[in-house]
Amino acid sequence: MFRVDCSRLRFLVIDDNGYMRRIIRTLLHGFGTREVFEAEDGAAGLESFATHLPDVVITDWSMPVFDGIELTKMIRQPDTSPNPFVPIIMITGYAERNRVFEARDAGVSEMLVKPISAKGLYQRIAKVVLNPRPFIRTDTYFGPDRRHLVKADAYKGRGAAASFLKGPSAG
Amino acid sequence: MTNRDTPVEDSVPNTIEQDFGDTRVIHLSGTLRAKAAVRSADAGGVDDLSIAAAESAMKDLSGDFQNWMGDEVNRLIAAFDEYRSKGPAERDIANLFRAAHDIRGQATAFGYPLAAEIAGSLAKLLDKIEPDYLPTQLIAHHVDAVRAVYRSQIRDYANPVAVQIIHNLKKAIDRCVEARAKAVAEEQKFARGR
Repeated sequence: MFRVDCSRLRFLVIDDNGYMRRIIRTLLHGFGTREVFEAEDGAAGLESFATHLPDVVITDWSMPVFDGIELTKMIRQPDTSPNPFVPIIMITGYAERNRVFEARDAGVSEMLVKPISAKGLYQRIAKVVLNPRPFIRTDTYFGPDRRHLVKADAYKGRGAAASFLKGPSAG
Repeated sequence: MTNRDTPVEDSVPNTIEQDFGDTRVIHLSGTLRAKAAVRSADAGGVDDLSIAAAESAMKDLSGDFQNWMGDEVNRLIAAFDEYRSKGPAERDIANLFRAAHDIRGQATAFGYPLAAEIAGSLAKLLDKIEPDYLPTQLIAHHVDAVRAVYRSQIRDYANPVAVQIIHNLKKAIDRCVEARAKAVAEEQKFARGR
């Protein structure tokens, strides 16, 4: 069984609400993380993303000017983004089904509906680190496989990836 | 790393791509895992120690929550005052929505779940109905209710009056949203029939 050593990860937290940033930072430090960068809107977040190259991005959805969905779409630009594969955890007050689909279609890796808890946040981090979904690239989409329930096993035995995926570290 | 862990002998960061015509599947196995996964004796892979440490850190922070909640309530009141002070054509609901939305998301963590519920109801109204059709009086009831919950320090659902008020506000919002949706449908039907 594995767990995540958060002290080895660099996080970028993007939220326009200073209190929420403080809560997330506190939780991350509690998990052992040392490197937490913050930005207060999507534009500043994108700049910070390019500067600090975080391992995991945690962003709010609703932000003025440049929201979490737009930020995600910018990060998931395979030809221009410094790391289009970075896991993006979206923290939001929106729990409606259509909102979840919208986030998924933008390329969000995991969603966490407020109120935020230590366990909920840790579980999302563990999921993107230990069991990342494969990425899909089509003419109209670049991001994590949107079929949440499909595991990498589904691709086993298909083409050159077969031996790679059958290894012990298959995610 | 603690003594309950052993390092992972994981693969080096690696990716492989599969081509399915118009779709490419890219496997990233071994990237972040190689960096941050550690073998652990904990059952289920849930890191109880890390979670407990984070919860403890949150508890230390919670002394500030009362003031933070006060700031958020004041922000909501100020946003509503600004909204109400302007004519219908000049009204901008963005600040009001953001203030309500933030309370919906944070008030439970701050110890005010009822305020979160009321603010959630208000955010729904502001999100679902066009600014020209928003009922100002109903917005005012929500803002007053959030303020009352905070000032009276109502932190749980044991207060029957507060619970009844939330129920009534929610019903009013649902009726309002439903009526507007019906009106929009009628307008569209009428426009198609012309």
